[in-house]
Amino acid sequence: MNEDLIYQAVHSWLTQATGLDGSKVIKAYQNATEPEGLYISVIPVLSMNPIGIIDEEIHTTEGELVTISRRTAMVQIDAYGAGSFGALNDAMDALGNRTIYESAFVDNSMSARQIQSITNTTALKGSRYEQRFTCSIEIEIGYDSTPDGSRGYFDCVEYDVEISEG
Amino acid sequence: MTIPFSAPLSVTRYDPGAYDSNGLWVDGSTSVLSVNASVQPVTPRARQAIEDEIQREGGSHLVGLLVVYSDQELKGDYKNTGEIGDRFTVQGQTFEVIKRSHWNGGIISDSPKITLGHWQCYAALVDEKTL
Repeated sequence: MNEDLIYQAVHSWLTQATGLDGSKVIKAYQNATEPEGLYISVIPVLSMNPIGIIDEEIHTTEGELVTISRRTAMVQIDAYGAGSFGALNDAMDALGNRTIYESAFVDNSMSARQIQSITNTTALKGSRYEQRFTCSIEIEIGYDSTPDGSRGYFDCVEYDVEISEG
Repeated sequence: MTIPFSAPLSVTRYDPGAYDSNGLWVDGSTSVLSVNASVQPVTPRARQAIEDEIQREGGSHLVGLLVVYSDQELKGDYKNTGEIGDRFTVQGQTFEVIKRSHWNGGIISDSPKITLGHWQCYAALVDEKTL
């Protein structure tokens, strides 16, 4: 599913860019505890839209019909704790790092760009302030969305021939 | 002495979970134990107090709330460590302990009442969409 693909790509980008351990870059809304210290939470799909009116259909050399869907997804990234601005700043800088960008996004048929300023959302937590920053990126993703065997077209015609002596 | 009207209650206990290297939460392992408990409906006043507390923490309303009196300790959920509260089933529905307090046995001051030492736990209905 493309939400999982997006999350995996964003997770790869953020861990490489910030140097944070994989367990400190988490998927949002898991009903679980906050990681200790600085951490980043990812909402992989804040919104999603199709690119174009119809999806692309490709006939392969084997005669199969493959559907390629292209979508744009807005991804929200929130950093919590001391150093959260620096972490997001490093992450956005890494969108210009060819090695990180290619391994996280290009190799997974995606492109990414920053679409929102890094914004300070620091707020009170209990009786003390917790440093928080947020930012959004837009991802374009192309993926194979071919239905599993239920396209409804004929893909095979069978016949047999009976020969009688006459 | 035991809790009045108590009966064996089967409880599922969860060990603390952890994030894996992909940032995905993995629940801790579970064990099943039997406790001696009395499960009761909550009073409207107690329900309001708990809902007020949840709203102060940024949550919304609760669906389904029970109170459990037990002479054995039940674990509540604790978000700071990722612990899930003890869970049990009543009339086919699963409830999770969200709040607990321990009452020492003895005479309540300014009151002729005498209490048994016990745990008083509030449990909320587990909504499968929030798992």
